[in-house]
Amino acid sequence: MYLSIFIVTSPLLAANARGEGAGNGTVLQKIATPSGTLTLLSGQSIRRAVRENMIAQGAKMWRTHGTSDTPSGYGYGEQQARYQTDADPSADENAWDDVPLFGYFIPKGKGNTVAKRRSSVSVSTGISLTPYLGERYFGQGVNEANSGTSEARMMPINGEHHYTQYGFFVTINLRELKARPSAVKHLLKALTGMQVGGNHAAHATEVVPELSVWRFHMAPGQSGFQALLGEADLPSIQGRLSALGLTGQRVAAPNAETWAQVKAWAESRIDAYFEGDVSWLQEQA
Amino acid sequence: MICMIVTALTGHYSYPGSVENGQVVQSAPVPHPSTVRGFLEALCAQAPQTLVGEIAYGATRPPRGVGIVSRRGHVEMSSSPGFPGLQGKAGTAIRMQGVETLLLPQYAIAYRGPQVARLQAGLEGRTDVWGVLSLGTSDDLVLGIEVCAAAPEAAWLVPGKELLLIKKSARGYHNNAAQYVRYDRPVGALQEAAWMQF
Repeated sequence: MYLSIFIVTSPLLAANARGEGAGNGTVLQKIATPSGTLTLLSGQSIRRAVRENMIAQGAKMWRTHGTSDTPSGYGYGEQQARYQTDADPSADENAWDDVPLFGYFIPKGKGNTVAKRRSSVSVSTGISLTPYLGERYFGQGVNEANSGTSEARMMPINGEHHYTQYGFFVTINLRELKARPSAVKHLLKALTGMQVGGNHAAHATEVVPELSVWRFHMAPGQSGFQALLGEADLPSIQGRLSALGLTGQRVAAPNAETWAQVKAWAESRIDAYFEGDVSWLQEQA
Repeated sequence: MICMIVTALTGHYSYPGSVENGQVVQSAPVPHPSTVRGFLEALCAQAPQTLVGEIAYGATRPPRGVGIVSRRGHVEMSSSPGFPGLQGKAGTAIRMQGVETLLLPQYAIAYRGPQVARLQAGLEGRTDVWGVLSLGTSDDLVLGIEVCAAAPEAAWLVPGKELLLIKKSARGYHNNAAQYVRYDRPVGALQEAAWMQF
């Protein structure tokens, strides 16, 4: 059984930049469409934020913080060891909360040998609901390129940001997660209050769901959300939901209390499924 | 024969190998045959590169957009004080790179062979499916699958000259035994020439 969740975030000032500049002129990640340029929250950045929230919740994590003391904050070589514990995840995959959800991939030198597990969760790219019209910010900050190699220098910076809502999809293959029920609960809790993207001091980048559609389904690719995106811009998601008849599903309103209520509703169904009861699924249909 | 129309939220179909730091990893305009085969194998929980039979596929319409998504990947670079892991020589390291990404691509995928019943079971949720279905990288979530009674009109891939695609991937490191084949993409009904044998 699958649980597919479509999340529309509250408006946020996104600064999920491409991360390739020296900090003095950053550009957002974008996709060009016939109806305008849309900005993105990459799936990788959302998954990282989910991991950070799971760490804060006390989940048992094989991969830990992705921070290091290198200039860019990413780990390389010896620093790579900071990403993960020394334990071999393949010895007991279900001993961890993150391994069953996100899998792992460990190259083992020459030849064809790799240790890996396919992810049981897919977190899609987040797509802005409104086109990007060229908002920029200007200020003063530390040039990343100088901060690690010599001395940190304050310098004028500018970059793109986008005040908008984003939509993204999460799909969970629950059949593969029966051996670690706590992983699903940690994931559902971690999907709200995420810090996605960078430059948190200057941008309100906390991702909070304003509206979410939850759908359980037995077959892959049957989330029913395909039509939601339409022409890839979402001028009126509420109206589109009504037109598609999806308002009969669970639709959450924008606050943590309601998210908690919907999460509790979903968890009761997931627990029943793990115990072998899927009679409620026919009721939903 | 079984035929389905698959819509993914995003799509990225790169050629294997490393790129320079900060460069964009370009995408082929359609998935590689090996990617489509892997998608079908995931759909019926079959081990990689073991699905036998014939596959035909093509885009039913152009993608809705194209852009660049940043992610960490293996990039080609030389050693420097900031990156001690390379230990004094050029090589690959994990670093930010841009990934060319298609928005909302849609493909018709047809299969004929001994695993039709198993694929049908996968589509109906009666058998295991590996993970969550994606077409491309794991980010490229499949939003919807519609099973068709007959093969629709599409830009079915047939042997030709336009595109160089990977029919069989080289799995693992230091293995260059990938098989590349050239294809054209004429729009029309499914022809016999479009069937690729695996």
